[in-house]
Formats: sequence, C-alpha cells, structure tokens
Amino acid sequence: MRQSISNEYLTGLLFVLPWIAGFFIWILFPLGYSVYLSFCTYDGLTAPLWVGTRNYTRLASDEQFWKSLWNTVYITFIGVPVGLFFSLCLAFALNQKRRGISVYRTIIYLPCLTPVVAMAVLWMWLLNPEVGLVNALLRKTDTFVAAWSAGMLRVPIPGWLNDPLFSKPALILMGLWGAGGTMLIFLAALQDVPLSLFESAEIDGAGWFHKQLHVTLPLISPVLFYNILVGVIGGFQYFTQSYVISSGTGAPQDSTLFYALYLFNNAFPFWKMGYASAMAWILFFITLGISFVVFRLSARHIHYQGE
Amino acid sequence: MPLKRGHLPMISASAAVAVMLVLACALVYTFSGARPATAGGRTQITFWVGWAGKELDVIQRFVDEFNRAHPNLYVKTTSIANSYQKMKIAFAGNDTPDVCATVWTHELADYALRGALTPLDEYIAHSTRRPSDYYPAVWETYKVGNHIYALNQTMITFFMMYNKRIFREEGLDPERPPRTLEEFDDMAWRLTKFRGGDSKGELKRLGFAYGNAFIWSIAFGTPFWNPETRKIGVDCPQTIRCLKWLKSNTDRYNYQRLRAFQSAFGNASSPNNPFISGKVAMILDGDWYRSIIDEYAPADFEYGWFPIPAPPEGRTASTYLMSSMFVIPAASRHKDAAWLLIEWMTSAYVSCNVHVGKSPGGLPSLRAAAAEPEYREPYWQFVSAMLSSPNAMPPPKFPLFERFISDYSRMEDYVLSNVKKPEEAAAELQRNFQTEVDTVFASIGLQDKREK
Repeated sequence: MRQSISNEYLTGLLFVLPWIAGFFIWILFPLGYSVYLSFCTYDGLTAPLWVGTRNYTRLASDEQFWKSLWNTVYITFIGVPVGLFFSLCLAFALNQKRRGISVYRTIIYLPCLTPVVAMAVLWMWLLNPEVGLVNALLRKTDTFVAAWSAGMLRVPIPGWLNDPLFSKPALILMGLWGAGGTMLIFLAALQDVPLSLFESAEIDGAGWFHKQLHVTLPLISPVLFYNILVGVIGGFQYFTQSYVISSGTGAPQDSTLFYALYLFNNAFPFWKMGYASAMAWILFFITLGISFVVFRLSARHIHYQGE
Repeated sequence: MPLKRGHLPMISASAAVAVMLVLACALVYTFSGARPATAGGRTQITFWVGWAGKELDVIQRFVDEFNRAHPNLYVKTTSIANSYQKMKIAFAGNDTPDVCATVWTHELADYALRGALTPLDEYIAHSTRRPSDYYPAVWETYKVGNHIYALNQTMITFFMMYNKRIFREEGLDPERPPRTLEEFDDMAWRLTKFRGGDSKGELKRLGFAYGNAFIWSIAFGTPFWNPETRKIGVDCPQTIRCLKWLKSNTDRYNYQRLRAFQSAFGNASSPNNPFISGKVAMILDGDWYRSIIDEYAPADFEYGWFPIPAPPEGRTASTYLMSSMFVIPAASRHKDAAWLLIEWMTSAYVSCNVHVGKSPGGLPSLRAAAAEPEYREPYWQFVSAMLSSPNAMPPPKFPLFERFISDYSRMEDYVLSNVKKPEEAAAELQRNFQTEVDTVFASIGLQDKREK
C-alpha cells in the first residue's frame, strides 16, 4: 500500500514537473531576476552593473514618471468607475424579457470583438478634430444652439486626442465602446437575482429604485467587486490605446503617457531595463496596495449568497 | 496484452520521464542557440532584413544571385519588418543572425559602443573599398569612434520640396524657391489659405507645417555632441533661436489649429498624401518622397526642391542622413562569409538596382554608383549635392539616440504649447540627457575595467 502511494505520488510529481520547471524557469526566475535588475543599470547588451537604490531615487525626481503615474491614476479612478457605471446601466437596460432583446445584447457586445488596436485607430478618426464624426456632430449642435440662443450659448469643439485637456477623457470615451464585456458579466449576475426577493420588496412597498438599491446591488455585489478589482488592475496596465494613438510618445505634453507605456519605453527604445524593472516593482506594489484596500473596503459591502 | 492495474504507475512514470527528457532537450537547444550551421553541405548564413513585400522580393533576388555565385554558402533571409524589437532581444540573448540590415544609423552607436558589433576595418582594408569611394558624410555615418561598423546601399537625405502649381497660383515664381529663412516664412504665410479668407478661421491649406525641431536645429547650428568631452550641446543659443523661431511661426498660425489640421493628413503612402493632395505647399522630408510622388501623384504634378533654409549664422545646405545599415553582430558565427555578403549587397551593382518602383528609391552611397546615367537627372544631382555638403550630418554618435529624439520632440511640444520657455526646456533636456549619457559611459567604462 505504502509502495503504491509513493509510486502514485512520484508519478504525479513527475507529471507536474514540466509545469513546475516551466514555472521556475519562465516565471519565478525572471521575477526574482527583475528584482536584482531593479538595483542595476542594464541595457540588455552589457552585463548588469549594481547601482544600489539609484534607479529608485532617480524615479523620485523623474518628471515623466510622476506624469505617467498621475495619468494612470486618472484613467483608473475616473475611467474605471465611469466604465462600470455605464456597463451596469446597459445591463439594467438589457435585463428585460422583451422580444428581440438578444439582438440588442449582441449589438452592444459586438464592439468587444474588435481588437484594441483596430478600435484605437477607429476612434482616432472618429475623434479627429478636423474631419472626425464626433466634432462634426458637435459643430452641427453648436450651429443649432447658437441660433437658438442668439449666439449666447456655444458648444465647445474639443481637440480631443490633440489637446492635453481632452486626451484622457477621449480615452475614457473610447473605453465605453468596449463596455459590452463587463455588461455581459453584470447581466449574468442580474439574471441570477431571485424574483421572490423582488416580490417581497414590492409587498413591503419598495419602488424600482429601492428594489435595485436594496435587493439587486447587494446580490450582485460579488460581481461588482470582481469588476472593480479587474478594472483597477487593468487600469494600472493601460498601454495599447495610448501606444497606438500617440505612436508611443505619450503626446501631447505627456498627457497620454501611461505608466506601462513609460515602462515599456524605458525597457526597449531607451535601453534602460534596470530602470524599467524598478518601475515594474513599484507598479506591482501600488497594484497590490490598491487591491488590498479594495478588498478591505469591500469586505463589509459584499454579500455572498451562500453565507 | 491487457494492462494490469499495477502497470499504470510504471508506464506513467516512464511517460513522465520521456516528457522530461524532451523538455530538457528543448531547453538545452533553446539556451545553446543551436541552429543548423549547414544546409545541404553549404554553410548557412542567417541574414535579417527590415524589408517586406515587393522590397523583400528585390533583396531576395540579389541574395539568390549571391547564393548561385557561392556554392559553399547559403544565405537564409528572414524579414523582421515592423518588429525591430527582435533585434534588441536577439542581441540581448546573444543569438543574433550572421548579418543584419536592420540597424539604423541612429542605433549604430548604441550597439557599437556596447561591443555588440564586429568592426569592419580589417575586412575593408583587404577589400577594394576605400573611404574616398563614398561621400564623406556617408563614410562618417559608418563610423563610431575610430572604427567602421557598417555599410549601406542608399542614404536618405532631408531637404525641402514645394508644389510649383500652388506657387504659380499665388503669384510666386515656381522656379524660384525661397533662399533665406525670412523669405521662407513669408512665402509659407502667403501660401497658407483660410476658409472664408479669415486668418482666424479654419485652415484650408498650409504653406508649411512648422515642426521637427531636431532637423531645423541642424540648420540653426546646434552642435549636439562633443565627442572629446562627451558633452551634449543642446543648451546653446542656436537651439534657443531655433525654438523661438518655430514658436513665433506656430503662434502666428495658432499651434492647436496647426496640430488639428495636421491630424487630418492622410497616409503619406497614398493619394491622400498632404503634399500630393495640395493640403501643404512645402514639406521637409527625405529623398524617398520621390518614389511616393511617382506612385501616387497625378502625371501633371509639378514639384521642385531646395535646401533647408538657414539663418545667417546657421548651417547652409544642411541635411540629416538616415538609413538602415548592414552590420555583422559580434556573435556572428560566420564573420568572413558575412563580410562577403555585405560586400556584395552594398556593391555598386546591387545599390543601383535595389529599387522597386519606376525610379530609384535613393541615391547610392558609393560615388561610382551614384554617377550612373539614371542618377544624372536634376533631382538626383541635387541629392548628390546635399550628400556632398559639408553640413550633411549623420546622427550624433552618442548612445540612447532614440531617447534623445523622444526628449527633443517633447521639448518642442512643451515650448510650442507655451508650457515651457525655450531656455528652460533646452536646459532641462541638456541636464537630464547628459545624466543618461554619463550613466551609459560610466557603465561601459566600469565594465571595461572589470574585464581587465
């Protein structure tokens, strides 16, 4: 008996060994090595040179580092809540038993199938200040409003991605285009809410708003929490859209220079792998810290049905 | 024979061991950088290029010719077009091809200073190539320190082009482009058109899209780099004058309006090219523009060219040189054969025939090739004059040039947006970039000492 257990144990271990070996070689070792590199200057060609905490102290006085961090915080703490709210509204709107509702759900979800790069290029043209559809609509609206108010009111025509004031809101607007994915998760959660609870609430005299606030939201809170967490982590890794719209420069005036983009620029175009490693570890601790805070804050507000 | 229950662990263990062996072999193979060095008894030379499509077909034609002429060698071409990051990764992993034509002029110093390239001095000394075969500025482009690290086929030069029809329409002499900076600014303003004729309204056409501070700084005389002292030379009166000049012009047109107008420009390689479609009357670009015009402009499209205007104290007839280069990585396993390939690919014969379109894609770097009949027309004669100019400038030979250009564009953006003063922005770039360069030189120097 003991022999067969040890055989099975050995066999099992041998079968998982490729994964364990892969995990050590491709994940754990690079992870540990990047800690070492964050204390070195390393360009990828010559051997890493130990410089102590210099990368970290230089980051503290690096203007672009702080700008990229601010931009990332902006997109995470404004973009993510706006996106979640929009997705939730869509989910509420589509959580109805009406004829043809699945067609609407499909239409709302379809943009999620567009690759991020294609979506960014598409929105670059939609938001083009000269020939973009969005500004064309705003110009028409402006003409109408100006005529209606005898020139007293005007609709602003933003430069969108060309204007440092509007570039991040433009990216948030772009993000709403892909809200269908989150909407689908919310929709699944909404459809799981037992009707009996709504009926009880109705008997107690609750209106639509109170039913959503006191029945729906607590019941979908685990899903809401999941989407917040995934959104925050995704926000701190924001890269592709800014890389496409600014060709990797973060222009105008560093307003689209996000943390991951600056990290990438340091690692590859600027040959500063050590500096980029230091940035990566700071990002790791920021994400870890924020995830911890999100966990702590949400612990009291999440209701798991099994509990 | 049916399997008994007791057999299973043994079979599973054997399978697991087999899997582990395969994995171990794969890992050893990966880390050893093992690649077949021979193909059908011929030594295989790996050759990375940055071309794709029709251009790659043209290059492959000459590679095939080389393969036919060398029965003991076989060149395997791989295109890494649009994925140049692979170059750095290959160098970092010490698993480079034998030859690559994918190192750009501005990257040469970065690779050479870090010892990643093979100096070609010895090979050149034993060949028929001599420095005098090349335009002096081109030869300078191949050098880092006292060594030659690269050769190329054709060099890109930057200068001005203008639309003759628009000049005529606006009452300017189409055969007399601007000669001074003042004239240039006046003409640019005159050629600019606004919707409804209101200079505060929307732009309809630009005389010139002001920008590209780096190339204009060359004309203004910015020294950029002192190799003796290893000091950056950006914080100087020339750069400040250049930034102020750019700013005064962009203010005149309104920087935000300029940017918005430029953002709607079509793809350069298309009939919507802003120069071809008449959205811009004058442009500052490379000599490759000729092939774009040939391909996309209507047959009656009239254009001319002139050197980048300079202020009185600046550099006249200045130009910037750019090209992808043929190099032999230090880790190449067949350096002699690699040199044979480079010698062939950069020969006068190949350099003259690498073009895809109706006309040559660029002027050959070898003077003898540039003297061929097809380059005798005025356009190529002008490009030749630009290459011969004492103010033809290769990228400065300091490391981190890509970072430098990124910082330069950033400085320009901040100044033209009125966020920073030219003096403040130039001083900041000088300070920050000098620190970066010092760090690189210190790390290279320290490593040299450690190796000793």
